[in-house]
Amino acid sequence: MDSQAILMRRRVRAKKILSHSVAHLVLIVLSLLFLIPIFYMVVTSFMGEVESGQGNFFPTEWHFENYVTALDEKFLIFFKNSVIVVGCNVIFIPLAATFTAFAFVRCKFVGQNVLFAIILSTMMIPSIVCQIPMFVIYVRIGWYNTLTPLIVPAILGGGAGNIFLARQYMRTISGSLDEAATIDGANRFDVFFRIYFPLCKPIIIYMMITTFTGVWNDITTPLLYLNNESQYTLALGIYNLFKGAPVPGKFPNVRMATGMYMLVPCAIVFFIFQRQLIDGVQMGAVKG
Amino acid sequence: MENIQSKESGEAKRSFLRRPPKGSKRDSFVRFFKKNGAGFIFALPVTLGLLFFTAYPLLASLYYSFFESYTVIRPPEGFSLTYNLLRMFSDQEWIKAITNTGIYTLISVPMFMIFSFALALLLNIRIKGIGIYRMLIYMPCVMSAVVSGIAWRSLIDVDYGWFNRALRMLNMQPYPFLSEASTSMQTLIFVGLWSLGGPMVLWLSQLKNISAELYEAADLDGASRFRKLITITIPMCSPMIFYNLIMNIIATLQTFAAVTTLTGGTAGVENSLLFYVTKIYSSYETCITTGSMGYTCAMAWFLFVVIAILTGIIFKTSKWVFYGGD
Repeated sequence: MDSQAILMRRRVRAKKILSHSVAHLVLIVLSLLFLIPIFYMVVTSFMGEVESGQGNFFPTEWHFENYVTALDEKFLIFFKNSVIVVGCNVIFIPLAATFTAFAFVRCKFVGQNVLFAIILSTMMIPSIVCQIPMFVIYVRIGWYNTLTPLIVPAILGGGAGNIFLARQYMRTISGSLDEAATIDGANRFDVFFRIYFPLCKPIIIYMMITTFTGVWNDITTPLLYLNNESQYTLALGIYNLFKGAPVPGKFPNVRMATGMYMLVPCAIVFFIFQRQLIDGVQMGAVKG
Repeated sequence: MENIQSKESGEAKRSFLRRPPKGSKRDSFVRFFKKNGAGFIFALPVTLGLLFFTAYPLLASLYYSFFESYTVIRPPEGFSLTYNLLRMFSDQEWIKAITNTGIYTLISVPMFMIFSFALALLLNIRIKGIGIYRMLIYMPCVMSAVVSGIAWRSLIDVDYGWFNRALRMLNMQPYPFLSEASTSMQTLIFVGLWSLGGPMVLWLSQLKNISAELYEAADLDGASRFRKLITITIPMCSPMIFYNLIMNIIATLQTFAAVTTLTGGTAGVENSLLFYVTKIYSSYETCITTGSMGYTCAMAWFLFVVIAILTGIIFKTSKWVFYGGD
């Protein structure tokens, strides 16, 4: 009886080890498959010209100078433009979104619910519908071919998705803070800037990260409103540099190095803020 | 006992709400502002944003879409209710674009949802180092459309791309990928598989929210793994399924960046990858010279109407969504 029990336990453990190793095997293969494009970029970016064109799997010689070649004058201009646009958006979007959320969480006004419903329903509108008439306006008021159209809309509201997130988060902050501060004579702005805005830090960090990657990588908006190389953002500049017929240009090595410059900032942000990103996804997870 | 209490508080409330003696009109305005003012101020930026960047362009676009000719520089000419609508249905490119987009949406939305869900289930097991696997599988999502376009165009190069080199090494026929119209759509879907990590993270967060008690109860009843998946996991995830379904359909119908970076700004061989928004963009690029701004707006509005109808249908048929006890 006793020995049988031991045998049973052993069998269960063996079964567990087996199933775990199968799981590991499957997961390792999957991970490797998913890493193909990034691995390809890294490896190819260090190859010589001919080698990279032939699609070798590993460099025979390491060419670190590809990364210097990629940093030409144009690249630096694109980079500067991207920094301006991304910087403004990363600062203003979370500020605008929490500011707006405050109106819906800690204030009461006529038409509050209607306005909120309208904001949410704008998520359904395809952006292209609004972009074409905006183009006409931008041409008329002289914003076409400037970075302004990539910045100003963000300041006004911060986008429906962000407003929704900020509101969800702000609802979890106790209202008694507001009441106490108001009794102490604080006005609404004090309450927002001194109490609620700092308390929203976790969701603000999440919005900053998603805004950073979103704007850094955005290509559709710049494609519509920028038509002058000196105004291109990095995403648009790189896209235009390498677009053309389906056959890629001769030597992918410098191309991949350029792509790496585009990729690395997002990868770094991802690695540093992994925790916050996952928490943010959970905060945004809909519950009805 | 309770009844009495609620009655009392109700009375207290009523006396509190009793109108103060009527003042002048100015007083009531002051009162109105005191009550609403702060909210108005905090809601002002977003209201301005909605008016300038959403409401106005939305209506302007609708207005322009009824004109036969509009070139941005001169005012629109030739009002007609049906001209642009008829033009769409007689435009071969438009038909091709809407067919491609429809096929792609029909295939890729359910397929990517099921695959990413399966992936999330796989990555939800408790095993050492699962966090690292999750991260590695998410990694390609860090690549933007532009970057992945650069990488994938070389990877699927017919002669020198890694995939075809590997196929040749295995003595298999190279795959034509984007070089032939018949395989272009499959290639786009294939490349899309690498971005499954994004929806997977969403599913994972939902899976974590399911209480362990439900599974324990099912274990006591001796339910199989498959049965638990069907009767617990999927119903508990239904709000997320609903949300993802709507968001994915809206986003997929607007596919643009992913395809245009993969094809390098073209519509693929024989327009095999001409998508709806690509079509709008290309007609928009030429609308100043051809005067087809009205047509461009009409196409954009058509897409909006389609999305609105689809969203409406999904909402109407959303009885299957389970919102939990609370």
